[in-house]
Amino acid sequence: MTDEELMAAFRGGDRDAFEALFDRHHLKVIRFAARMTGDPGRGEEAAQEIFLRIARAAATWEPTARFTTWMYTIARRTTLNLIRDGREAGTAVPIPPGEEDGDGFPLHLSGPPALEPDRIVSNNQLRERLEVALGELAEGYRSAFVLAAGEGLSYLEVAEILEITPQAVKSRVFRAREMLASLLSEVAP
Amino acid sequence: MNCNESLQIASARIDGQVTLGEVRALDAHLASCEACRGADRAMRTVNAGFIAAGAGPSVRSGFKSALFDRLDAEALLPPRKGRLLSFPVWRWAAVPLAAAAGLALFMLVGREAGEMRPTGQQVARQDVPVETIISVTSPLTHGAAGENGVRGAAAVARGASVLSPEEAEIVANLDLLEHPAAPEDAPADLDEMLTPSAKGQG
Ligand SMILES: [Zn+2]
Repeated sequence: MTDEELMAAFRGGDRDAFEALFDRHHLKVIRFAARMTGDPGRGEEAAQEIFLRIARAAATWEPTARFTTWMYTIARRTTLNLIRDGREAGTAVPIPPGEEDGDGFPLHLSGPPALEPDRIVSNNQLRERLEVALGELAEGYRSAFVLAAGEGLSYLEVAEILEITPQAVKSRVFRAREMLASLLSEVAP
Repeated sequence: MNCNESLQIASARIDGQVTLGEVRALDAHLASCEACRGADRAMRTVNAGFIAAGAGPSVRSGFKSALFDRLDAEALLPPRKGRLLSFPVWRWAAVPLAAAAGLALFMLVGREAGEMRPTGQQVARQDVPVETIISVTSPLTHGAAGENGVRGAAAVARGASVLSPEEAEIVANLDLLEHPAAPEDAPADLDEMLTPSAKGQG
């Protein structure tokens, strides 16, 4: 059964359908929330809230809408609420004015030669630094990057979730990669 | 194609969001631009590290049961199979249930009126069980009363003049159920999520 068929069955009174949706998607939701919050523990906390909201809002789901788009929309907003509630002021990097145009500032992306993909994957220190760097991005960049690069959603689907254009998604994901690379290059051996 | 455009496409290529034409143009640019080759490599590095860092989230044992306990506590899930309906019924089932109950009330009132001045047609209608009428009216009631919890509707229909407190409350709360709370309360505008102190920078 598709997600949409399961959702329809759940709305028709089938408890097992909701459980099937949970089994199918809970790891994605936890992973998304953990990456957005930068904290696996809070990721689980957020995931609980997300599934509660999905169940509460089931009546508002439009059968024509793709379930995962709807799910990630709820997931993102729930997670941002948690982040906002627990955020320390001044830690987020803003999206600069005009940045969404995609032709903003000069690139400083070269990085040291030592920053090779194989190396970072096997280097725990760099991975930890990457997680910290992700938390320093503005939520707009982080959401776009986590959804596209982390969850593998199309730019079109991310655009729908973030309520921006696909071109803006492309730009945000690029800027996120650029900033992360820049932050990582500062700590690379 | 300038460096900025080529790197946007390089980033999109990592996500598989490029056209064949874009790939050709990008490769042509990379072949002649060392700075972009370095940047492309750095972006791939970031991606590989990011995916490796959070690929398989660990889930504590008891996560699912804790969640489903909360869902049940809020009566957000239909009851488990084999259980009798217990209030509150999930909200989206209540609307057709109430419609069925309302119809049953109408039919019973009509039948009582008919008993006072019987005609051949109305006598014939008295022989039709109310549940049969409802099963035609509401597809939810057909064949799956136990599983879907629509026994409540049949009970409402059979004893329309004696609604149980739970059933009365279902009907009384219909306006609430038809307008469930919005699922999100976070602002849709991402800019609102930016730290005010940081927003003026750059
Ligand atoms: Zn270039």
